[in-house]
Amino acid sequence: MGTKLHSPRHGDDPHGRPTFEPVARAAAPGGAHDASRSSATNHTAPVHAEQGAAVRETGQAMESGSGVTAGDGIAGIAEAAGVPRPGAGSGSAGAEGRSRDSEPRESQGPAKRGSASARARTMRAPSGGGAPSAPAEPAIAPPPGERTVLHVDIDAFFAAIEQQRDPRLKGRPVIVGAGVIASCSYEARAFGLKAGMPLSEARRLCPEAVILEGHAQAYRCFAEEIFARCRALAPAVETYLDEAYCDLTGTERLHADLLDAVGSFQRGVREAAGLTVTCGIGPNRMLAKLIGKTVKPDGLARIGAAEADEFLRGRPLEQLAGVGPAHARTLRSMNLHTIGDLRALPVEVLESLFGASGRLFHGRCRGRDTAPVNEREIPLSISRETSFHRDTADRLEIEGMLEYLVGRACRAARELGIRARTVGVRLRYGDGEGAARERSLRMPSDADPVALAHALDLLRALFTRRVALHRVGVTLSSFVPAAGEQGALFDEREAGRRAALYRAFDRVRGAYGHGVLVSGRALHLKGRLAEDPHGFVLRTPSLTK
Amino acid sequence: MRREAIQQAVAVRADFQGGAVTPVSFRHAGREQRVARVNARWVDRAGRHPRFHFSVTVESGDVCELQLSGADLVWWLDSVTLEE
Repeated sequence: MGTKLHSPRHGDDPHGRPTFEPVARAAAPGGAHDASRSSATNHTAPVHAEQGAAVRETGQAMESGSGVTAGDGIAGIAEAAGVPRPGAGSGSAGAEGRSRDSEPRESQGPAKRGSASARARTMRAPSGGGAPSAPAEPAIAPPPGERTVLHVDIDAFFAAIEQQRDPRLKGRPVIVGAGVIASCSYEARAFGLKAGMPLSEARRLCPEAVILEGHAQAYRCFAEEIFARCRALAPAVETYLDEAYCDLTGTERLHADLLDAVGSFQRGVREAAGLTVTCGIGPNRMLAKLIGKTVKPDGLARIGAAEADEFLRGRPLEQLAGVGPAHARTLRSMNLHTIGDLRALPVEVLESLFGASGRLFHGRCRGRDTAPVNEREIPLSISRETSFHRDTADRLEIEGMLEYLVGRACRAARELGIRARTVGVRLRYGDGEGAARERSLRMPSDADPVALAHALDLLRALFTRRVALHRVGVTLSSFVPAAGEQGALFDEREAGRRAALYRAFDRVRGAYGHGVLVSGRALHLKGRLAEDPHGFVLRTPSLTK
Repeated sequence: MRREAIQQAVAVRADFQGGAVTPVSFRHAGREQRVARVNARWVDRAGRHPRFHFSVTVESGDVCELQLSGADLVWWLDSVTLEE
């Protein structure tokens, strides 16, 4: 059953004896015992005095006082997330770290049996029983065939780094962003601010907020530090800007106690990077992420496949992966408000409404998500974009920035050994209106001039209004491996020379920074934009998805 | 908050004990600035040589960012953040 822990720490008693808690994790919703599910939801370690690790985890929940205890089950998790517990009155215990009524599983030995009140007590091992006499089993072993995915989310990422870089910002509402909020601190969120909100509205809601443009390169360094620790924890890690998915399937013997290992990972991140991360563990990516959301910030929670149904049922539609505002509007117009409501629709109806995504929604609303965690050797897209320091209609400046962005994106593609089939350009005008268009290349390419020619054509086709531009961006997508591409017959020699030239450029830039070589139109940016060793300072974090 | 880019090479007294670098003081604008606290440190591994960044609070209360270039071991004062 779902387990929620805050600020994980070791729970041995002050006298040095291991504490343990005879708690059955698998409780039916509302606290009723469901013995038939116990084998499928066996997240409970056999409780013996020797197995301190298994016990510690439960003890943490009991002692933390802020999380839901292991015995809370799914109802506890749902309540903590603001979802009413089925059948619970307003006077229910709430998510305050108190043990709930749940029957232990009979199959788990006499140590587990007992009344709810007995389970709520923290029991002590007999003196002398602390030394292990038998090899410890994995404390929480998922049922055979069940995947274990860890979702790591860095809390208020950019804002937390800014607060760390400048301690005077701690405790103050901090916003990082240009034009819109890219990230804001929890102090700012108390004023109703959230990512994506225009800065003008943010200023109105929270006039005392400190607004910073941010420093994408520093953020990337912090993220890399955290992701390196993820790779030490799991064999497969998929990273994004401020979050990562780690596939922990099959690591039960490596991490004797998974919650302990993840708790240790969180402490390591806090010590090394000074940041807090929220971790969710689930049988697939979607559930791992969703359960993590219920314990933000700096929390740790786990959910099993058997609890998914109950966990998802009462949650708002928008929390389902892939359901954005437009899809949610459509569904709400059909009087569907929760993920549970969505289950009423047959897969054919969902497909007719949302196309291929409809089939995914049909599985996801039932807790099924088969998307693998992969290292993404070939990314979906590489985007480089920035907002101008001042809205501009100067063609030289806009085209110069586009050439610079194309150079950065193509270099990233060459470093990954991939070539793009599609080039896209995105604009945002000063009045907030946007425009975007993509074009396929005749041949996949990673060469700056090829991508730039298409990007400039797209820019001319898109930039038609007599309004200054606020932001411009370029996206490369539909990648193929560079080695797997068949070259054109007649321009092979030219392509080979050009590739050698850009490889040389990349070596120079790799050693001395991207900004050391600036070509063509991008020269117009010299002196107008701030530079660092990586080139011109972009005001929007670069993304490789 | 106002961050002023400085980007000047500076002389830094640093502690290299225990395999970690910790700036202790540096000279800027003819004055010795003592580091009261290291707020954050991060390593930029893009490029051939790593760059070690430090956010420090000096005794006057200003927050400065120092950078040690792994290529030539030259220290740079990147920026000073002033309270407005």
